[in-house]
Amino acid sequence: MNKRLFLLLLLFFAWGFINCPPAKAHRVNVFAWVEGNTIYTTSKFSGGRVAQKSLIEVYDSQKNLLLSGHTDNAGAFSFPIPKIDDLEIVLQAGNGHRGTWQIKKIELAKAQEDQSGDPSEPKRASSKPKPTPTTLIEKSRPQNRPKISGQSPETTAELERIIEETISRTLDRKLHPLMTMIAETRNPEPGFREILGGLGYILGLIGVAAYVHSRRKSQ
Amino acid sequence: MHIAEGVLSGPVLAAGFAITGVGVGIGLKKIDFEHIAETGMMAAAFFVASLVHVPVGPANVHLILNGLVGLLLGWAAFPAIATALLLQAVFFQFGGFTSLGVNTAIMALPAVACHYLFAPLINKSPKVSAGAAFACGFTAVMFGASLLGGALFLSDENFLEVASIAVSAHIPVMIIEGFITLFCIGFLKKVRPEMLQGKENRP
Repeated sequence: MNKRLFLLLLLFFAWGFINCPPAKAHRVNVFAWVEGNTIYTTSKFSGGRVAQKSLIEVYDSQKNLLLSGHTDNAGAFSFPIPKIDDLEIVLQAGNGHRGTWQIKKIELAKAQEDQSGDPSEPKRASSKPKPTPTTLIEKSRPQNRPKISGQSPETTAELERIIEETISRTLDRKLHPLMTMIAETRNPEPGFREILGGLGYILGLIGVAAYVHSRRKSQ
Repeated sequence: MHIAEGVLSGPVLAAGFAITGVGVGIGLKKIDFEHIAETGMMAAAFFVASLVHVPVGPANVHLILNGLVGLLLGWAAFPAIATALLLQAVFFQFGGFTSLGVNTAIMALPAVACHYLFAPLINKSPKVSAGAAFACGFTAVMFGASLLGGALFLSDENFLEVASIAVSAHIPVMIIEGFITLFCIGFLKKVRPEMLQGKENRP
């Protein structure tokens, strides 16, 4: 009789283990990264199901709400950098589900510097590769054509900037799928170690309780 | 059904800890030597049950088993569920430490209520017993979902919206938990009837 009960419990725990890799539960994760002048976020429940149509709020270091929006069907939401500050991205997925992600000021400042060399101009280049501002090209072209070798320092600086911009844009484009992949794999799941650890604690507590009771009995 | 950190307001969190403190106190007093192992077993089952996902609808739900735990343990469900939730917060990052009190109250209060409602019926005729077991699993989740909606409402959210979402999201779980409780009680009746005997006298 006891054996059957034991078997049932064993089956139950085994069921739990088998179910655990795709198990979906009550934790949401939001992951955000900066590309150019855009912040991308992706939101997921633990287990991999995306958090669709969930509210995302962005706060600055003084806890002021900067912007909010909803995730799309793939759990993604992106927005231009609203402010160079320590940003907190909060995901509210309903029913008490909440996840947060921090983006440091230094990261934003750097990203923007890389992008435009001018941190005070947040909305210029965005996620999609736009053509270089025509003024820049016009400025550099006529000076470049006639003398390729002996350029003036001004033109060299300009050229360098254009090259840098082009490279960083191309990099952004190439890195986007990679960042998405990292975002997808960033989803810590409870595994055997955590489950066995928890069960071990419970067993230990049973032991402690039984010990205390038996001591009390014998006294 | 686990509320994360930073969702609820201070007074709601404090009330949760107060209710849980009282419940755990009563529960610990009620556990005698013979029931230590049973309590631990149910805590372990509850701990693992949250990993079993119910793949129905767009909602993100999992087994809770608070009906079964309450039916078998009575007030001892409080310490069992509190322990299991604490370990889930530590190991799985489900819920959170500040919301531990509220989360325990949300799941353990219905467990105790269902014990009082349905335990006296478990040792009646097979039909009554089966009906009571199903209703116990079903009602415990429904109560829990309502409490969840209530806690969110008290922390400044639109109640009707939140509560209806919370309850409707758990409907598949209610039905599944009803059947699981029915199956478990039926099994225990055949295999370990003594586990169910005297339940009505031992809330």
